[in-house]
Amino acid sequence: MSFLKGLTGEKILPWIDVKADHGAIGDNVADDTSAISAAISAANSLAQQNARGAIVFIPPGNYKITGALTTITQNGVKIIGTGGCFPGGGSGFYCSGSADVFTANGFFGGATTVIKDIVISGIRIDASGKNKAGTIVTTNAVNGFILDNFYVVNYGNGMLNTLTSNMLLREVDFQWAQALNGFAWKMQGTGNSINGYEDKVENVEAYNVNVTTRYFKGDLPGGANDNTIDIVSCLGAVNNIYLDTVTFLKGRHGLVLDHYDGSTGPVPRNIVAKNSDFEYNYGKGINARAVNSLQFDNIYSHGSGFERGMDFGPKANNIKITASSCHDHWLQGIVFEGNGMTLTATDVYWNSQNNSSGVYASTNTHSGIYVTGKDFTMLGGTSGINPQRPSNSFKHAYGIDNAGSGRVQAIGVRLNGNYLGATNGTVTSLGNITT
Amino acid sequence: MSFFKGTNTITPWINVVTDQNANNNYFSPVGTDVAQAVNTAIALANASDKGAVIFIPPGRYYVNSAFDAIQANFVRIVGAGSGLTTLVCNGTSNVFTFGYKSTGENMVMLGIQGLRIECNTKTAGYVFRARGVDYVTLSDIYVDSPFDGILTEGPCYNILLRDVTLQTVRGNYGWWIKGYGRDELISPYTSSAHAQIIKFYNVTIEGQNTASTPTSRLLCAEGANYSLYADTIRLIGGGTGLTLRSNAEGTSTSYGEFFHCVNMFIANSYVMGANISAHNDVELTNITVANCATGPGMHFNTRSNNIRIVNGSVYDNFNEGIIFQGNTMTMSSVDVFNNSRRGLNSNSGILITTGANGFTMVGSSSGNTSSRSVVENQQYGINFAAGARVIAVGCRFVGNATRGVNGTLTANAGNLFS
Repeated sequence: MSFLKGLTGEKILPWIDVKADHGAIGDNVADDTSAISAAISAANSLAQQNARGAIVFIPPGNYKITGALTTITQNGVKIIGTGGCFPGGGSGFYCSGSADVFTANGFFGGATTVIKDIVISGIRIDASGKNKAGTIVTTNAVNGFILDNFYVVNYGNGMLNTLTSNMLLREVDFQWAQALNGFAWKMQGTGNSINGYEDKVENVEAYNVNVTTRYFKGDLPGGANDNTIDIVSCLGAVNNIYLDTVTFLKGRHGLVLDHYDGSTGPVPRNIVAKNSDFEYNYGKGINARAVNSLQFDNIYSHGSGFERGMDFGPKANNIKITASSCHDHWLQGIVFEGNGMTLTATDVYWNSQNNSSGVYASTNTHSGIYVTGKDFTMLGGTSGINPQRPSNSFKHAYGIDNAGSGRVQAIGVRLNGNYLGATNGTVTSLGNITT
Repeated sequence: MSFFKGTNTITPWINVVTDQNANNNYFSPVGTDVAQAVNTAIALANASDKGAVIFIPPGRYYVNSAFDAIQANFVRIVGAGSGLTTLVCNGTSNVFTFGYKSTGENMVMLGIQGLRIECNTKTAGYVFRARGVDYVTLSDIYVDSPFDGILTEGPCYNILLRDVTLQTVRGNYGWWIKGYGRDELISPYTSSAHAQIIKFYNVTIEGQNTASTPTSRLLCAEGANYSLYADTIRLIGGGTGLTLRSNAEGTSTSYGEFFHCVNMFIANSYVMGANISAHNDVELTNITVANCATGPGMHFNTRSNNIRIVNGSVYDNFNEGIIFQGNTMTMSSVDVFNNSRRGLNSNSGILITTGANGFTMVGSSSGNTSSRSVVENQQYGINFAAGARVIAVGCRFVGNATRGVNGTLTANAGNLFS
């Protein structure tokens, strides 16, 4: 063990090299699980002694990991490799076995205090050998977590966050989830009190994060569909989530927002995204059954396998989407059942790509926007017309169909080019083009 | 730093000074060429099947001849930081080349970071070019006076630029994102020659603001380019700031889809601020296009489709603020003002030509602001040909020389016209 030193040679943090200090080999032949676990154990001990933390350094190499690594339990433990997703080969883990890989848990072993300042950076993980089992990253009772430059392929479950706040993800890829009935990235909280802390996930920033499953529409061996993995789920007390340049692709649903138990308790709040894609999902690009305040700019919901593009359920409130597009979906482009939604400068086109028998065909049976909720406003943008490729035969039944009893406004919207008409039901219209 | 150096089971770390005797000429005005030392490191990296790190320590290095292409996976070139490691590059060759492997194999996970590159006397060549690559990162790079800057050409996927500045581009391209035809295969590559999934944060490209480089394009995406994500971009000077166009060389005429952009500043272009001649689905949020010296601010040509602009300012451009000839454009909360700077009151804030189909503005304005004293004045706030089917709702068209609107709005509600 050495020390990270300052300019005048003062010792800043313990520096634990998994090779030099704990005998890890890194040749993907020798099993390095115990060596790396020992390094993390040492970091926990040192961090507990110095009350500041410790660095576990993973030099370049290919490490064979066959079981769970020691849980991070102390403030300031940082696991640092030399390259994950971008750029370079750097520190690679080849994982097998059914256990979880990285876990940070302040409540481990009966402890009752949330831990702070945890970093995992610069590691590339090939989880092919895990045969779809385990979770790659788990956090619980953590305040201040950075996952950076981290690249995972062929995983079972990706990341699970509970009772975690102030989390930063940057340049993170979870590519090719493989577990059936698994999850790629899940954040969840009941809102209940645990050891005096509210069980919630809060203040998450994700920059350049890509999460996918491997399969889409018959890509699974044997032509089967993997329609069980949600890409990113925010369930229950999950607040202040900022997504910037994220792509959530090829899962059941791209982004799921709902109650923890699907019906009661807190709902996700303040979900913000920009420059992000929800594309090629088997189900819905966005499935927001319950959310309070959602703000999306420049987002792209495209090509759902067998579903709606964006679905806002009865408990989806205060939805704001600008400068976005929603197209090439199987059923409706946007379905709104909630309370209060404003759609600004957004184009909805080429949806309704199946007939009632579930066959890919342009029978024009589904509307671009289908509303059964309250207070929906569309300002500018289009639902219907798309002269971009006039030969494309997919048309919506209606541009906006108000099938409920709520108030629907369309102001300055282009609603021409739909099969049955611009609108259906009561729609307050001002300055629209309808034919 | 030799502790990163290892056997073939780990990533080699090659220090070009201590391992290859590159001459660090920190105090010398003219130094010996380090190309041979770096090329020896590149040869070692290319021979490694585990990738390599080529480290260039702090200092000042002269590069007078070409670097060899990086043609292996997991190779990165690491300087000590854009303030600490400087390469002085002269001559006419490209500086860094990734890919272009004769086998057609795509190279994965390559990067350059932490360099300052001076090209003051360079008369040709790119600073960086890549083709046949997947996952390339350029970060913390400052280039002073490149001739041409960056070329990423298809097939190239997953390109990331972060904190990159190209200062005073003197050639034709700042950054040329070059896709070929849709699904076109170009020998020897077996993957489509698209430029796809390109993300860039905090990128500044500055050209020369003179008539001497009217053909220069600071950021140019052409041909089959799909899914570009831009955040905090400055395009200053040059002939044209932003160009989105079809491919000129492919067997079919293809153009891009999905340009997502937040926080973009385009100013002082010589010919045009933004020239969108062909692209589907362009989303611009929080943009400014100002002070084009001889032409319009933004020109959307006939094959620009589904354009969405939210929160923008387009002002002080020589001709029109915005010209639209395409299919379906919506702008919300966009102010177009003080254009027609040629002093003839003869250009409109927004001009929509014959053949355009579907222009919508909501909560926006095109006029001249009363808070500024300018001689120049937009002729009309919006001027359009019959058949354009224009919607204006909740907009202001005030302070224009002739009148607010020339043409009959197809849909018109809640506007101010004078």
